[in-house]
Amino acid sequence: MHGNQKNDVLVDPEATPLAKKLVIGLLLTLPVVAVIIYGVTRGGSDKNSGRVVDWQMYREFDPQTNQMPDRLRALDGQKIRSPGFMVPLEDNRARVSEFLLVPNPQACIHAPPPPSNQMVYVRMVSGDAKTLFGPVMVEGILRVTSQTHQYGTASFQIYGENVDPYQPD
Amino acid sequence: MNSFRLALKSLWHRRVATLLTVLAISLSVGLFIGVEKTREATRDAFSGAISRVDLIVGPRTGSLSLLLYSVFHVGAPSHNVSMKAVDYARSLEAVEWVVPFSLGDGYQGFPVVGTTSDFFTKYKVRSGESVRFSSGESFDAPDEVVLGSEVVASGRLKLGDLIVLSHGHSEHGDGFERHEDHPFKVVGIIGFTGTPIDRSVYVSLEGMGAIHQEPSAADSSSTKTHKHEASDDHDHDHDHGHNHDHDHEAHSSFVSKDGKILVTQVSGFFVGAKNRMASLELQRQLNTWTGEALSAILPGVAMSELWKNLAIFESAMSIISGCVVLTGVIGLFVSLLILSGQRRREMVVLRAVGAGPKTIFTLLAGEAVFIVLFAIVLGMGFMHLGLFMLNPWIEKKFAIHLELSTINFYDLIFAGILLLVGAIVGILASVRAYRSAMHDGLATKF
Repeated sequence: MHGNQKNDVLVDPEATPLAKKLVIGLLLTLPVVAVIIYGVTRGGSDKNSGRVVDWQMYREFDPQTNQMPDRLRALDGQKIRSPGFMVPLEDNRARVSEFLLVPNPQACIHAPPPPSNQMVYVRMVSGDAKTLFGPVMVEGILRVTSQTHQYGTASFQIYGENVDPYQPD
Repeated sequence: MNSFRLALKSLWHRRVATLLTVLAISLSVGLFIGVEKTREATRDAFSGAISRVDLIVGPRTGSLSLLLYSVFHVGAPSHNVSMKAVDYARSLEAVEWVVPFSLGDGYQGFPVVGTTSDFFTKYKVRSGESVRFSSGESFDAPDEVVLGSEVVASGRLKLGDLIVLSHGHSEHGDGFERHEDHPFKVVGIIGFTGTPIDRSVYVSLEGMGAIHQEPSAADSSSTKTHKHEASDDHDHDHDHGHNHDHDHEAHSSFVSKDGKILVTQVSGFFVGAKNRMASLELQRQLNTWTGEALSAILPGVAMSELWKNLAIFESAMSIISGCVVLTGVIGLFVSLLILSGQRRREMVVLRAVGAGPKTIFTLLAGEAVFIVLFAIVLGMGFMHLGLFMLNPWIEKKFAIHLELSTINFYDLIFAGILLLVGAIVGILASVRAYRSAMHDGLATKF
């Protein structure tokens, strides 16, 4: 079959290192694969994209006069990130498909709820987000509508793509 | 003879051991999927129980207890809410609909819920799924009743049957005081939802009033005695309100002067807002209403609080899953190693006739991977087939719905780990087969 079979009686000098390399290689690939899978499920690598819109900026909209500053209007349809706290509206196996993003955790019953310029309605478009009780960073497309009547459309909506625990920069 | 046919023949030669290995692995794959599916299903049964409801309002209480008794019928309300509060909620501009509910009575261990027929159109389950009738329709008259699927199954009931409700409700049976004189006619049966709706009996608020049970009456025990006297003294026609003397005022509040049944109290109500953005504002308005002490909660928020509390149960299931994975992997490792150990002589013979390291490696690693792959497919196939066939029974028996979703992410990870272990064992075995001296295997030792 092969020409150089005389070595077979002894331990093959080639086979052992090759097989060992394979085992070590496989063991090494395991964590790499795990990390890749983890990264993919967390929503890809394109994090930190989109500018941060904070509550100071949202406050520039005056719900009384319906004055929407150009700075906010320009962000309509743009990919942005906003920090805040989740108020889950629709629960689905400890994950949420719709929630309100507010600047403070909603445990305080002494104060009235935030005004409409301090509340963002988030609807998840790419899969439900895990319910998080701490501060979060929401990434998605911002929709700004200036014509608000008291119970009409929301002034700010985000079509959410990613929700991550908030990490101060 | 090529190595593939050689591998097949060799496998066939050791068919019993191979089959057992395959069975053991497929069993752990199946078990893993089963545990995961059960975990999903129990989560589903909880979280799918309420949807598209913006606020749950009840008497002043904690958010979890309100959620538990209004949605899951666990525990009981300590107070009632007056119809005035319901009207107040209806009058609010941001409110689109209000569905009141009244709890407290039972039917053979199942809770009776008094509500309006709006309940069936407004209240949704599982992210917006409608509550649909498998037969019949919503109640229309005070003496009509709608049953959940499990109630129907347990009592072998059908449309048109008459049932008698009891005063008071517990999981283990009902009170001895039965409303014999107020039988209800079954007019509708709700299809399986996998939520507490299946275990509930629905009557109209007027029906609830007609059987003289204001659930957990906010008025004290003295009125209760009146009620009992009333049941003794009076015939229970709906127009019996006329004959009541002054003492029975509290009791007769269900019945107006012209004999119509009035409802003055409910256990709470569900609210749908015109815009979900207004939920927080509405919650504030209802919580701070000076007319009555109310508690308004957002179901989503209360639900996530409940999840936080159920984390122990969840991690227990995770630990079980983890153990299944661990035993599966160890079992795979051991059985494959033993299987390849059996082939030592075979390998030596192959080497003697001139098989190179490549051939030995292909044979052993290929066999291991093949066995694992076969076992995974078998395990997944059997588990899904089994679930598919057992689902109707599980739904009936445990009232949980095992979703037959396709293979999920964790299943694939587990399968991947098993395959990887299989490959590693194959490589180890081929190294061992190659290292062992030939005379060791060729010598006839028994």
